[in-house]
Amino acid sequence: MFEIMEKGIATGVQQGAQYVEVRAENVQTTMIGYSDGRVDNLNAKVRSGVACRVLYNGTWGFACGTIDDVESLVKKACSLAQTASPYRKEKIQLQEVEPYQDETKKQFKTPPHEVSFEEKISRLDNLCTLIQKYDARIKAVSLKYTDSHGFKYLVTSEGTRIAQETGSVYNYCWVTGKENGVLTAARDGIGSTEQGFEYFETETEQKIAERMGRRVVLQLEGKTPKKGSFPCVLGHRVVGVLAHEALGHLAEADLTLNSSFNGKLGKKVASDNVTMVDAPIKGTFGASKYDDEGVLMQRVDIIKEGVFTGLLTDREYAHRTGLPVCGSARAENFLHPPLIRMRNTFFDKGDHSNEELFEGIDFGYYCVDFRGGEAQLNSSFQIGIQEAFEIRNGEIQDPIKDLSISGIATEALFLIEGIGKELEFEEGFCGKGQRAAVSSGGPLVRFKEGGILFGGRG
Amino acid sequence: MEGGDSMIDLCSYAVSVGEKSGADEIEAVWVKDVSMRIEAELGEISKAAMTRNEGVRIQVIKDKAVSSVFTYQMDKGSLKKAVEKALAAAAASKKDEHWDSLPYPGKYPHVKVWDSAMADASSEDLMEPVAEMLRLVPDDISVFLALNEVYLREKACVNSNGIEHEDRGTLDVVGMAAVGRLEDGVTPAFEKVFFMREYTPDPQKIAEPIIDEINLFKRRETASSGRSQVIISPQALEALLHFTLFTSVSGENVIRGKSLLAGKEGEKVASSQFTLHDNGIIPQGTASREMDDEGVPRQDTCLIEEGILHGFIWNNYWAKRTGVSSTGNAYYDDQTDELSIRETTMVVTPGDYTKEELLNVKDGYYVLSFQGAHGSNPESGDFSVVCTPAYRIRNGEIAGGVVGMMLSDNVFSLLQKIDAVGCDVKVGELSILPCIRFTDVNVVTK
Repeated sequence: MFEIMEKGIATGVQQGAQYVEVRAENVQTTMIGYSDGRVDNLNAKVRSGVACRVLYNGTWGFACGTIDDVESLVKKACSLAQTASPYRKEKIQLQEVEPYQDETKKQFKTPPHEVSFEEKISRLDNLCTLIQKYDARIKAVSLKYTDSHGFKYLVTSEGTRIAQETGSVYNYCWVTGKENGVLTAARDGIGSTEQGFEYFETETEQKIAERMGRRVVLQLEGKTPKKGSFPCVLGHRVVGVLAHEALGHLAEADLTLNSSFNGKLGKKVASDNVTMVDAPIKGTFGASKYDDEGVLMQRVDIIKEGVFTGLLTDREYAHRTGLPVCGSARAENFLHPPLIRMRNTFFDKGDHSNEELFEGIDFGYYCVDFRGGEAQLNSSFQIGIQEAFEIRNGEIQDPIKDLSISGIATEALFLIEGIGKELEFEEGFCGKGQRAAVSSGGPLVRFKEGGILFGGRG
Repeated sequence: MEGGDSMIDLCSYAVSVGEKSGADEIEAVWVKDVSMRIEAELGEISKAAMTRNEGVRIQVIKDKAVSSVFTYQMDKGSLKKAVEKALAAAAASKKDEHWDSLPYPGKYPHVKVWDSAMADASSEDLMEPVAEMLRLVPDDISVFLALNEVYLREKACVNSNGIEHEDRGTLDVVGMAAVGRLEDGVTPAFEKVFFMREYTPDPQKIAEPIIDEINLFKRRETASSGRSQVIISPQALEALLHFTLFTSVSGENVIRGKSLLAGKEGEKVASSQFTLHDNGIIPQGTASREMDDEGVPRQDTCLIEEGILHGFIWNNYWAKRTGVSSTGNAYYDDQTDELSIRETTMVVTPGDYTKEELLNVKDGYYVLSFQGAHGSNPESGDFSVVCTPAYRIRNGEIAGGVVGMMLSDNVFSLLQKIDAVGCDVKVGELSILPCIRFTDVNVVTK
């Protein structure tokens, strides 16, 4: 593979490009869609192709297609950049990095591509049955299993030559419940880019079914939540998505420069006790050794003790901002150029016990699990909540129906008044133009009244 | 392609291999999407990209078990291997007692969605509208994304029941997203995107409204909790309805008990001012084609007529299982590999109100976009979203921008509370919608 990719590099250099990057991939994927006992989709795919990106006269050119066409694709990328470059005043430059030559391997105990379709379907049969049996009010079960395995290759005109084995397993559930004409639903998504099919030995069907069943029943039995701002405690999974949406996106350097956090590096943006990190922690969803520019993935302290200290960068934005590269440039697949993406974003742990976090709240909410979230450049964030409870007199009480919570991060992060001691993470996908595996998490976090707005109807 | 074989020839080859290899039924769908994209960020053109995404999806049915294989290798040898792999997967899969058959040939509509000017556009042609948008924007507004992207899409479908058809279409997506600089930060992002089947980009039509909207937003206003009149823009409405109402009209969700509209045909489910069609053949619609992703003819399907529920959208499987006809709404998602039912272009019939008349309320809100519509509960129809950007309206005038305002309501009750429907429509990615004014909507603020 490297030999043919090198032909593309040589073509680009010959055309006069300042930088040439050829990424190739050969990844086998399986997707099984399953609903109410029926396999409704069983799809196998071998995703193979090549992405050619050049920096030509300070402008990016990109073309993708099949590996056999690599030389003509590089020429096309050069010609596109050449056409665009006269429109630019400030030429794009890249932060210098060390070129690596490396080959990385996955350590799957049970590689997903070696597991038969029968076994994968049998697991879904069992999971579906367990969810259906959880409660008579469960009316529909939609499941989706996906896995991938293969290799990604990267060659650049600076001498980078990396082959990374890639792979993942992921399980998604959507379950519908009905009672007295009222419908509701809950979701769950779990997976790993570190483990193979053995992941489901610990994330068993029983565990997933109980979690899903409980969420649906809580939704059916939940009270209508009040509207307004209340003191609250956010659970690990909600804190994770808060980290991702409230500041994570705005710490992506391509977004920071147009956001409310622009110019705030080195300044106080949160309570003293808040530390927020994005790091490729081994075992978390979305982590790998190198990013898609061949940069080693490294930890970024976004907030340290309340002070805004770091941004996620790619080579272009590292040069533009003067900050270090951190290995955040990731592409969904060969059809896309790399973008700055989070890896695993989390609030670091604090020193409050769980009892202390709930203590003294006469009325508020405890939000346990989420259904999506979204960021805005003015730091407005929104998180859909699918599992939450009232807090009354410092105790967790009745469940509530789903709602959204929101806030303005530049204000809300100052209203954090307690951070728990235990970290937990969750896995998912982020959709910033391209789909990327990410994880996020944190300890339990308590907000004062005024920090979080509850979009209820009561 | 080998030896001048067309897309249809190679799909036919794959089908013949499947039939000889023991498939009960087989379908081959060839998709070729080529796009050219010019993109600007931080106020300058930053990249020019050409993407070619071409492959064949082969679906086989053996003993009522269904499986598919997608391959990017399109020579005859690779297609043969893909068919063999699909058959092996079907043998390992589960029998579906409800399986009836793949679709049969239908009469295809003529839909004029191929624009030669767009197909012939060069990268230089695409550059100028982006450069012009950037030139129109003043210094106190930052453009974080401007783009002009042309798609050329071709598709061929052949199946063992006699379908053999190909179609093609062009699409231009041109737009801009920007924020206004404030002393204490920035405004929310404002965006305008035009989806066009004919190449007529107009940078002024994109940049000027964004500039006006940002300037109006800079006059700060406040929102207050309570019931209020709310005018929702087509862009915001599309996001909300896509994640709530549009999933409820899917035939699969109706049959599986996942839709509150099930069993309500003939009943009043919305205000009499609300008429909704799924129109897969309207020339302006982004999804308009001659056939869907199973080779079934696209059509115009009436879903709600003056508030009365008329019907649902279907693909081949769920239509046959229910005893109705497919409405040509099969959709293959290349990203997730799922074949499902999806809206083509949802069209709401425009009403009589100009924008000025819609905004003519004593006290209310005008919402340009929602944050978090995808977190709505599609089954219950409950939504709880942040309105951003949004404006306060006082005495028929936009008084200024509001921050931190949410709407929390239910889509089915919202549709009963339509007060006025706009006369102008906007072509969106999934819809053609007017602005709509609703009454008695639950507004939430701190």
